[in-house]
Amino acid sequence: MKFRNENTMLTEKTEGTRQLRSLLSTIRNINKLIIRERETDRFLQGICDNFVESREFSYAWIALPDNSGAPVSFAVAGPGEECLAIKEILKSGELPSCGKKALAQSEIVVIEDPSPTCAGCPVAEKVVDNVAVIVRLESHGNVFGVLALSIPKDKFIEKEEPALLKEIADDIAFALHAMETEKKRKAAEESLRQSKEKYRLLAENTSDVIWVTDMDLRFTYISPSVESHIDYTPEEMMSLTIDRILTPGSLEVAYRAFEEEKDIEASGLQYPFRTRLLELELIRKDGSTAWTEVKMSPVRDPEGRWSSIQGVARDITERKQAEKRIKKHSEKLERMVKERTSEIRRSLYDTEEARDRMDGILKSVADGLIVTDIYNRIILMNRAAEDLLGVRFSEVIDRPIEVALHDETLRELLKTTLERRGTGHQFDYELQGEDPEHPGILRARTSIIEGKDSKYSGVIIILSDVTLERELDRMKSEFISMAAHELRNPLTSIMGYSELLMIRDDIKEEERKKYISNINKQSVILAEIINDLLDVSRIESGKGFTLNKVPSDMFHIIREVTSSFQLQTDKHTFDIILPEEPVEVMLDREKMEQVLGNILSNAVKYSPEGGAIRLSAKKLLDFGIGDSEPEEDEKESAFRALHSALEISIADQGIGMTPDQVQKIFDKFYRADTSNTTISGTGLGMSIVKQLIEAHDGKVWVESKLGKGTTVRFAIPVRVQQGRGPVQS
Amino acid sequence: MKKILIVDDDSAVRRLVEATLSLEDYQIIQAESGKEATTVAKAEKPDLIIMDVMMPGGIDGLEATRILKNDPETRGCTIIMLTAKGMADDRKMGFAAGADDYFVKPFSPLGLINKVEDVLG
Repeated sequence: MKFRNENTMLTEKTEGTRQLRSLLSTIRNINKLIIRERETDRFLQGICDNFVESREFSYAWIALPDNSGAPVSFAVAGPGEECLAIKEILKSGELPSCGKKALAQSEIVVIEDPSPTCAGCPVAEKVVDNVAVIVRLESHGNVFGVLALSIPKDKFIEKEEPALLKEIADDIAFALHAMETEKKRKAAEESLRQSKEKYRLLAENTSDVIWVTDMDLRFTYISPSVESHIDYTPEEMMSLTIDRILTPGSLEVAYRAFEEEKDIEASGLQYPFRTRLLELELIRKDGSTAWTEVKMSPVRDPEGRWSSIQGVARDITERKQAEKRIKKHSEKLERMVKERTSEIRRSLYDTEEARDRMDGILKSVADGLIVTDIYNRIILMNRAAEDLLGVRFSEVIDRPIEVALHDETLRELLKTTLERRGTGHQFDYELQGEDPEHPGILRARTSIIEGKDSKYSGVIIILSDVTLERELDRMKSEFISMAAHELRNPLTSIMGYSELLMIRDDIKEEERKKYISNINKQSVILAEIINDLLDVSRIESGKGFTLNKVPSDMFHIIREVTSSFQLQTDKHTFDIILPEEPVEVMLDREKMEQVLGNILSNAVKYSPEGGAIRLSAKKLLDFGIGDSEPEEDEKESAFRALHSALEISIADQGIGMTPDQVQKIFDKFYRADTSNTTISGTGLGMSIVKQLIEAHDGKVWVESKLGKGTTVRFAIPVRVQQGRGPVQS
Repeated sequence: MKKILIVDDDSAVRRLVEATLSLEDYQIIQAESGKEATTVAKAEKPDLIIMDVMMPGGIDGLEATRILKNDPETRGCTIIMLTAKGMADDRKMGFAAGADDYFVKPFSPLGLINKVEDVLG
């Protein structure tokens, strides 16, 4: 038995060696394949075939599945129908269960059949007495697929074969990996090639210039279109530096931009894919210039470092020129507009000046002026009109006159007047002023404005305040009726008595005498009244009356006039306080008598209860200017300063006057109280006094206290003549 | 003898009227104002009152006429207004106040005598 065991062992060893040798040969062949073969399918098939041929495996198959486990690439080798069956399974997109098992683990799977793993596998039924070895193909962390081998049991080198097969599997996997990498590399290369091709097409066919420079700003690529821009060929461009092709100004712009970008890059703050837009002026080959718009961006190396600049340049010469044209054009336009504006401004100024002048005229016109257009809208209104109507022009401009005026009555009056359309219409309107007793009277006169072609183009309304006129008229008619009344009475007596004397014989002598005396007295009164009236008319018409100034003794005149008054009244006493020394004054005696007479007449009239009337005289010395006391009336002090004068004052103890009455006392026709007709008079007395005193270069003034009495003072300059004695009275 | 009251603020006028009418055998009484006229008229009950229209002192001729004509005691008096020449309003107002006739100043004494005779019958 030992011999047979040794024989078996020898045979076994020999067989073993033979198997090993065939395994080694297989490995060698597969290595050859690995080195040689590039194509995956051929490679896989080659491996399987090798296994079957060199090693006499029953069959071999490799499958490379995708992520879902379905075989994408596979190869099967081996005789028999088992292979077909495997092929079918693999084709159907399924991995045999042994394959799945192997795929799931990194260790080699050795299956001795029958094995439960093979249950259901069509191959397993056919193969008996085989060992199946399935191993995962993985390399560089990637699992590519599985390799499955089926060896007859008697040929299987149990100890060594699995490990060796594992090594082969790893080599195969490595090869697959290398192939994949190669495939990827090729694909990338192709992709790059394609894109380069596309790029080249683009670069050569666009009219824009595409360029690339290095970090020294030298061109590493420039598209052919550059020639049509600046006449340099791309080859020439590559040898030029940018200072040759940019104008100094643009060169500076370019350098500055580059520096800025370098700084930004260094700071690391900016977004890595920056584009910069510059407008640069190029110098063509022939020296002429062209404008280009350059859009550039940094190009980075695989490490992300800025390694070159790429850009696109577009010719904008035309655009620039167009811009220049537009600019010139708009400048011209601006100039024209400016000229026109200043023209307009000038004419506006002239218009404004004219308008201002008109405004000035309108303003100074004392009467109110309103101008309306054909629609009765207010288009002009002056200050006086504003004041009279109590509205501001700015409030009523362009508004219909009916709307603009607040006062209904006035509005109606104006409306009807305007509707009448004729010219020269006039109406008076009572203004509600502050004083209800004395409303103002407004007179409105309309006048048609004729525009071009004598067409009606508006109305001018002139508003005048006729209150004063009316007042004067009223006073005049009142005066006239008063005067008539005054005249009537003496006339009645004259007429009456004279007629009586004529028609009756039976009048007693005493009576007769009385009648005649009466007639005479009344005639005298009549004459006085008529004289007053004549004086008034002279004053009214402005004609001066001539004064017959002679040196006169004032005091004598005073005494004379006073004594005649004393005769007429027993209710009053006349106290005369005069200095002893007579004063000679240049005056018209008759007029002075009238003055004194009027003053005394008032004194008597306005103290109906009687009382003392005091007359006094005072000599005023020449004080000179500056010596006047501050409290005194300005007129008085100024007067005193200029002359030496004689002041006469006449004071009564009568009913006195209010300050208002004092103010009006010298007004023509003014009578302090016209309702009280017992105090008769023409209202002219003091007016005449004032006129006469002022004709003597004198001044007259009145002081009064209501209820106490009135004092009238007047002063006339004294002209002392040298070498003359006292005047004979 | 018929009694005539002359009312006028102007004494000259009063004297003239008196001088005129006294020649014709009338008894003349005088009043200076409208107020005085009413009292005197009530007291004396004249047959005729010659009343000046324009008089001062509150009650003028018109007012006095109105008062007298409204008073039953003096209603019977005939009143002649003495008005200013040309004052048509005075005449109208006078009649409105109740006056019976009017006469104009300045006047002719003869005319006055005739008027008075007419009125008193």
